[in-house]
Order: sequence, then structure tokens, then C-alpha cells
Amino acid sequence: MPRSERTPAHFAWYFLQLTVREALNSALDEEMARDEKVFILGEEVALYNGAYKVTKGLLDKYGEKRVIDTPITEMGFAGIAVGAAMNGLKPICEFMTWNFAMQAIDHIINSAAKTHYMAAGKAEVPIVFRGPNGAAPGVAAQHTQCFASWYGQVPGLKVVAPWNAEDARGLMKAAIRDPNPVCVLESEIMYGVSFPTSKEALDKDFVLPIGKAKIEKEGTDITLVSFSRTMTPTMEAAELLAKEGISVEVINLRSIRPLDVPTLVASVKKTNRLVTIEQGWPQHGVGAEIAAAIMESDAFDFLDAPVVRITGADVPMPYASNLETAAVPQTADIVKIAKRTVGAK
Amino acid sequence: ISSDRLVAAYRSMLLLNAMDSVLYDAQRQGRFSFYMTTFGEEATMVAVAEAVKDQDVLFGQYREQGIFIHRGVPISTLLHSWVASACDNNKGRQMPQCIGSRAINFHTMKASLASQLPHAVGAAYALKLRRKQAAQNGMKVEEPAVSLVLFGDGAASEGDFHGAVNIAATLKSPTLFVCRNNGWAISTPLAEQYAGDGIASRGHGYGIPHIRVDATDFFAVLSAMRIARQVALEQETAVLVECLSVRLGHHSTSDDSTVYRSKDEIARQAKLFDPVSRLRRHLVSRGLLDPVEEAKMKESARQEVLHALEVAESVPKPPIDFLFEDVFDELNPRLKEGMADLKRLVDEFPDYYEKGRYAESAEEVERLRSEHGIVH
Repeated sequence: MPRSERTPAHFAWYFLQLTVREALNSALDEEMARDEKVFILGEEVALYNGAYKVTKGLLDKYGEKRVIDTPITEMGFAGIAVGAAMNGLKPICEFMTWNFAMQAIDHIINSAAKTHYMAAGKAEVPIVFRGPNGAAPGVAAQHTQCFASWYGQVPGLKVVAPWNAEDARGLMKAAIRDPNPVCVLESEIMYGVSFPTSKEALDKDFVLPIGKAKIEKEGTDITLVSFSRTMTPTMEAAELLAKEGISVEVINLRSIRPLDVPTLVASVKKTNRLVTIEQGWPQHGVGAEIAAAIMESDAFDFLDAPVVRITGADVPMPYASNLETAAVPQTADIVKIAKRTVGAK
Repeated sequence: ISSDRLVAAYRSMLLLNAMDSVLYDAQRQGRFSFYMTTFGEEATMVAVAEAVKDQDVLFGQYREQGIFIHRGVPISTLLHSWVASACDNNKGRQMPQCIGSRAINFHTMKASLASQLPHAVGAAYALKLRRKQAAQNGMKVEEPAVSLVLFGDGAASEGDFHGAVNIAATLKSPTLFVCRNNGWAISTPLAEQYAGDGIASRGHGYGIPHIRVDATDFFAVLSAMRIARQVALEQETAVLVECLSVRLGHHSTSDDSTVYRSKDEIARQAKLFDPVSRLRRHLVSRGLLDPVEEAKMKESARQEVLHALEVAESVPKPPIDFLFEDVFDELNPRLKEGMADLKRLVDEFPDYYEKGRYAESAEEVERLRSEHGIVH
């Protein structure tokens, strides 16, 4: 059978190497098969198979009434998607990148997020907004902003940020089934990266709970917490630190809103030290929220050092490769800060 | 247009073609992240550049490097931006295609689609108001100038198109809206972009003069642009010019258009809708160009681009200071702290941060820029 016709179910007997792109594609495919109200709209999603090929094959399978190419107007098609959601459909609205969604942010926040509340529960907006968020190489300021903290602030929105293939499948399927508006912050850099994915994660009803973080690696000396693309250098740093005898617990947030504070609190009570890592800007970032939440919790008494945030530089992302590298947290930065926090040299 | 200017226009088209070919290949070789070619739109670029005056203010979308070439910005200056060397006019901050130039009054382009349209309207209003105020105050009045903005058929679907054109019309803002309708927005053909009669017909709805031209015809674009400019200034109005061409290349180096149009169709259209060969036939028929001369022009254009690329790549990268400067007019404490911290990190991990590759100071950058004759 040609590879393109195999679904993950055909590989149910062992761990499959699945790219994040394939994981997202299979999740979209399964949810569209499961519920005919689910449809996709956005620029280049249909005939072109998606600017980043995440919607590959879906037009052929589900037809042009369920996979719709739109003219170039994020404000226009996001508004249309919200209207469709308010009237019984379940749209998946793709932004070519989340940077372009700023054109549509009025619809995301004022039309989608606040509506259930403002309409006193009479209107529901079961919509998914998705697309690549954060850094991509060599595309500078207007293509690399991380929006996790912006959308993470909004009551009425759920915000998820998958890292690996399992996250991508479970969180996307959960987002589509959720009756609330959900923002899925993907990562262009991660699309082509493959991960061994369990039989369980390949099941067509595999959903991950929104609002629950995952302990990717258990440890005892320090907790590192991150999300999405930045999980990769964080995991690398943990391995390097292990070689130096420092036992690191790595937490993958998976959800930005709701934030899984209980998991973080339990971890800090165990390790006594916390470092947050994100690509986004420092002020009002995800790390700032985590630091405040820990301070307010009973984990505060367990801290042996202040919570440290590692973030992107407080500048618009530059293009020159040397400046770009310097503007984003690197593995070496994480190792250095972790060691300083545990008091090692 | 004089014969000299006509041949110069043709030479600019050849130089643009050479830049497109060489840089497209260079991107494929991994030498920088991104490039967009302009095949099929050479006449639009060069005719617009020929029609504008020095005092006009220009805004673009992302495919307008041809205007820089014909307005006299050297290839050697332009390439530093794609390569992001220390000589880059954008200080290593802007992704490819997003160039600008004070020398030719062209605002630095951005990636946000169609946002340049309302900006151009504001600029035109500013030009108009400054002249009125100067006249009222008995000061020197600037030469009349228009604001000119280029955008594509797809960008015209953005909400900013509506806001910009409608307000330009109501404010009587001398803005030239020049739409490069090349038939495609990545893979989205016109039939899926709009159901109306192209972009020109929208001018009627907004109450402004509008015209559609065959942009494979250099002379058509040139006359339309000259008349549009005159009308805009004399009648104090916005004008909409739709330039029809076919995008003969891919959308960008991130696109393979054979996925959505056949190679045969592309080849057929390249024969029918190539502005360069159309102008060539005209020049040859008037005895202004011969094949030997043309071959030399092509070869020298190619060599110029290749040499400029090699030189740009040999220049060190931008200094770390450029990461932190110009966020505001002055560095605030957090930025100063960040810069000091990063410099310490770079000294501690010189191999990781590839310390040898970049310029170390503003003085070094100035020296390099003057050494390489950078046009601002």
C-alpha cells in the first residue's frame, strides 16, 4: 500500500516514527472523518495542501466544501469562521503564521473568546485557530513573534502549544472536540522533526487533556519548564547537565492556558529550584506568570533559589544569522543558568 | 522617452534578470534564507522607476527590487541585505526582499501584507500638508510629489486595501496605487481571489480615476504612470493603476509552482507574456540594440551580480550591538543590561557564538560601508 494511503492505525503494533507534521495531519484527518461539522479554512490550505503541508491530502479526501481556500484577508476569514462556529459548525481556521493573525485578533478575542460570556451562555464558539508560532529561521521580526503570552492572558480562550508528535496529535484532537475557542500554537521548525510515537497515541480517539503539563524527564536537583520548540534545547541541556551529575526534571507545559500550576508546584516541592525557558519576550511572558504563580503557592517555602526566567532578547527578531542565534535561548544558556541556580560551577 | 533612457531601461531589466537568476540559485545553495524573483514583471518595475521623480515617496510589498536597480541603487549595495553583512543598510535586521533606501525615497518594506497601503496614504497627506503649510508660512515650498505604493492582486483582498483607498479618496490624498496583478497569490489564482472585474474596477466604487494596463508593454506602463502622476497632482486625487502581467517564476524560493500549474503552461506563458523580449524586439527594430551588444550586456550583468555576491559574503557579519540598538531612540536599562550580559556570554563561549565572524564596533562598520561604497 503506498505510504500516502497508510493511516497511523496501520502501524498500531509498534512505535511509529511520526513527524509533527504527520501527527497534525492525521489528527485533522481523523477529526474530520469523525464529525462532518468540522471544516478547515485558510490561505493555501486546499489545492496547495497547506503552506507548510499540514493539510496535505485533506481536500482530495473531504472535498472543497470542507477544505476551503480563502482570499488573503485574515480579518475576513477569521470573522467568517467565527460566524460559522456560532451557527453550528466547527471551523479550524489556519493562519499561515500566528504573526498574520494580528490582522484577525479582534475576531479571535472580541468575537470568539468573549462571546460565550457576553451572550450569557447562549452562544458557543467551538472554533480552533491554528498555525505556526514563534521562531522560524531567517525570516526576521514579522515572522517570528511568539504569541503564547498574549493569547494566554485572555479569559475565554484555551491555548495549547504542542512540542512533539504525541502532543500534536493529542492536543489538536482535544482542541477540535472542545466546545470553547482554542488556539493551537504550532512550530514551523518542529514540523519536520520525527518522534517515536506510541500505539496509544496513534489511536483515533487519543486526546490529551488541555491544561495538563507532562513531566518529560524526572529529576531531583532542579526543574526546567518550557513549551513548544524551546523544549528541544531544554531537553538537550538536561542531558548535558546529567553528565555533570545534576539531575534535572523537565516539564513540558503543553498548555499555556489553563496553565498546569499544580504540576509545577509539586515539582518545585521536590527539586526546590525552577528555571523557565521560552523564546518569547521577557516582559509579561509565560515565565513571568509561572514565577508569580509559584511565589503565590505553598511551593514558595520550598524554593532554595529565586525562580529564574530565560527568555528571548527584548528586541524584534533580527535576520542576520549571528544576531538571530544571539536573540533566542540556546542550549548553552540553559546549562549555564541551571548550573548557577543549583550553585554548581 | 529618449533612446538613451530606453536602452538604460532595457539594461536595468537585464540586470534585474541576472540578480534574480543568481540569487535564486544562491538561495538553493543555502547561502541565505529566501528570495523572490520578478520574472514577468520587469516592465512594471522599470517603467514605474522611470516615471517617478526624486521627490516622490515610494512604498513596496516585497517584489520590487527592480525599482531600486533602475533608480540607481548599486547591486553591490543591495546584496549586503540578502547576505546580512555588516554593510547591510538594514543592520542585519530585515529578512530578504525587505529593502529600503533613503537615496531613492523608498520606505523599507515589511512582510505584513498590504499594511503599506494606508502608510502611503498617510505619506501623501503629509506631503500635501507640508507644502500648504510652507506656502502659508512663506517658506520654501517643496516640489510637488506623490506617494506611490505597489501591491499585488492577493494583497488587494486585505482589509487595508479598503481602508487605504477609501480614505485616500475622501481625503483627496495624491496617492498612486499601483497593483501588480500577476495572476497568482502563491497558488491562489485570480478566480479564487476575487469575483469582480480585477482591481482596477474597484477604483470606480471608491470614486477615483483608475486604469488597467498591459504590463508586458513597457511603454503602456510608462505612459499610464506618467499620466497617473500628473492627474494625482493636478486634480489632488488618488489614482489606481492595475498592471496586468503573468508571474512567470515561482512565488518564492519556498514555492514550486509546478505543483499547481503545468510546466507546459509556464513555458507557453513565458513566450507570450515576457516584457523583456517584447522590449528587445522593439529596440532591435529601431536599430537601438544588436545581438552582440546584448550578449555583452547580459554577461556583464551576470558578472556584476556574481562579483557583488562574493564580495558581500566576504564581509564580516553585523556587530552584536546591532541586536540591541534602535529598539527605541536610546538604549533603556534593560537593553543595556542585556547587551552587557550577551557580550559576556559571547566572550565565555566564543566558538559557540562564532566570535570571529562578525564586526566588533560601529567604527569598523562605518569603515566597511565606505570601503564598499554603500548607497544609503
